[in-house]
Formats: sequence, C-alpha cells, structure tokens
Amino acid sequence: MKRSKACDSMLLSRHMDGELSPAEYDWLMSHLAACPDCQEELRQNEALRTLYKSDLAEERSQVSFQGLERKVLKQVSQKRLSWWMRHKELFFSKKLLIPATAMAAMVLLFFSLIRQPLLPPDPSAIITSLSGDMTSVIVLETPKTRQTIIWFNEAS
Amino acid sequence: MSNRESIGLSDEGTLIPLLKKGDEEAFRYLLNQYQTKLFGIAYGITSDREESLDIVQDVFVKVFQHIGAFRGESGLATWIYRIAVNQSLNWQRRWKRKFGWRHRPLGDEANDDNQGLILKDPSPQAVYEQKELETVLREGLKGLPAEARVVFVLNEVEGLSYDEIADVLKIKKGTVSSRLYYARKKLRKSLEKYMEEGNEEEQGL
Repeated sequence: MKRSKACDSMLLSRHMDGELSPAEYDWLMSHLAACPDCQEELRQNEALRTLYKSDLAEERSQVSFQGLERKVLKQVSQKRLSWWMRHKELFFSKKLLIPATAMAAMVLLFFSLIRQPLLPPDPSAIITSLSGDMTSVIVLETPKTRQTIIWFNEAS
Repeated sequence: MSNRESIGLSDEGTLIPLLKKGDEEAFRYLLNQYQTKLFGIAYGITSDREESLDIVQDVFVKVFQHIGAFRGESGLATWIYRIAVNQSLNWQRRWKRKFGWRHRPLGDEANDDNQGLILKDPSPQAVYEQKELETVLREGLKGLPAEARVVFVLNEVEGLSYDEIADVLKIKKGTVSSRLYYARKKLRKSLEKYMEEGNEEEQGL
C-alpha cells in the first residue's frame, strides 16, 4: 500500500500516547479525516494495545499475588535476621571483645583513680618524741596506723 | 483503605523515611502498590510467568536492602521501575548465554499458516484464536531488540509518559519516541496477516 508523503507514522505513534502538541494534534486530526491508510494504521496500533493489555490481564489473573507477597515478606524477614546475625557475630567475636574489655578496664581504673585521692584525707599526728645523745624516737599516729621511727645520732 | 494510607503512606515524603527505618507496614504497603505493576514489566520483558515472579521478589528484596541509599534524586516509582527493568534484562542476558535465547512453550504453533483471527466472538474457536494471536504477539515482542521492548512495555503496562520512561531508562525523550514507533511498527508487521484478516472479516469479505 503506497502512502501519501504527508503520512507520518511517528506522529500517529505519539498520538496514541497523548504526546502531541496542540498544533500537531490539529494537523493530524485533519489529515486522519482524509487518509484511510493512517486510519488503518491507527486502528492497528489500537488493536495492538488492546491485545497486549488483554494478554497481560490474563497472565496476571493466573498469578497468586498474595502468595507472592508472603514469599517476599518471608525473604525480607530472613534478610533482617541475617543482618542481626552478622552484627551479633561481630559484637561477640574475640577480635572485638578483648580490646573492648581492656578498654573498659582502663576506663574504670582511670575513673577510680580520679575519684579516690592517693593521700589520706586526715593529717598525721605526732604523739610523742624523745631525743637522746645516741638515738631519737618519734611515734606517729594516723587514723588507721601507729608508727614508730627510731634513728641513731652519729658522732660528729 | 487502611489507616496507614489515611496517615499518608501514599505520600512518598512519609513512606520513604518509614521504609528506611524498616517499618513492616510501610513495606507491605509498597508491596501492594507495586507487585502487579512490576510483574507486568517483568513479564513484558521476559514473557515467562515463573521467572517474572522470581524477578519481582528480587526487586523487592533489593528495594528493602538499598532503600537506605535512595537519595530521592528521582521518584520512588522511577527508582523501583529502574531496578525491575535491570533485573529483567539481566535475567534475559543470563538466559541468552545459557540457552541461546528463544525458548518456546511446548505446543506453540504460532507460525502455522492455517490460523485466523477473530476478537469479538466468544465461541471456543474465537477464544482459541485469540490465544493464538496473543502468542504471536509475545513472539513478536521477544523478537524486538531489548531497548525497544522495554520502552514498549513501560508505555503499555504502566502508561508511563515519554518523560517518565526517559527518566527510568536515562535516555532522551526523542529516543523514547523513536523506539516506541519502531516497536509498534515491528509488532504490527508480525501481526499483519491476522490484522488484515480481521479487517476483512469486519468488512464482511
């Protein structure tokens, strides 16, 4: 079938999809009214669309989408689980556990040292002292201990 | 619809953050919204029901795994359709490598020359012929280059506009238009005999 030079199949295709500008649409409508070939091509394009949609609708009607939904949700929940398992393994691996424990111990030690000063809070007290020619004695008393210091005097 | 929809799951601005948090209800909503559409796309590209179901599953799993990386540069639907197209094309490439493509179901005699076309008469004969025609169409689709087939499917299944298809496939709008024109031309050609017979019958010849 020989077609007029004015026939534009691309335009017909775009018309099917509502993609024509108003000017293109007006031109095509006036052309279509007078062109049986383009009318036929348009009819065939429409038949093609109808046929394709009916085939797809039939395929869809044979699919259990509820079953598909269940499968997808199951797969996704397994992925969730495997994510937790991966991280659980990481959390409890020796590689992470040993340094983490050491770090925690160091942090605890550091804070315990800051909280407890090394020197006792109360001052010591001298109970008594004795000085002789050869020796001297001092007796010291703290809240928890009692200490005696003896030293010898060397002859000068 | 559900309470969830009333609190705005149909709005992407609400749905996406919930999906990123792993909200199960939001994911279920997404499934209900997209599973038939994605099946249509996968089936259009592969022409295989079981494979299409597997592809749809894979697409949802990918969406679940990668939604955290979704930055909203395109719409959620565009992003999901893109994954579906890529998954379907990957399946087809694998199939081609493995079997050299072009499997045909048993009992398919679409190319025999003794078949006719009737669409409106619901008689068993007409139903059979309708199926025949659908088979020929599917074969015609398979015979299209992948680029043209994908554009045709996105347009016919989801009624996506040329701009939307261009966005999904990252091609120019003019390319969408020419691929669609090419696909229709080829498919008309593959159905030519049936369409002319149908036309003659309509005219009482």
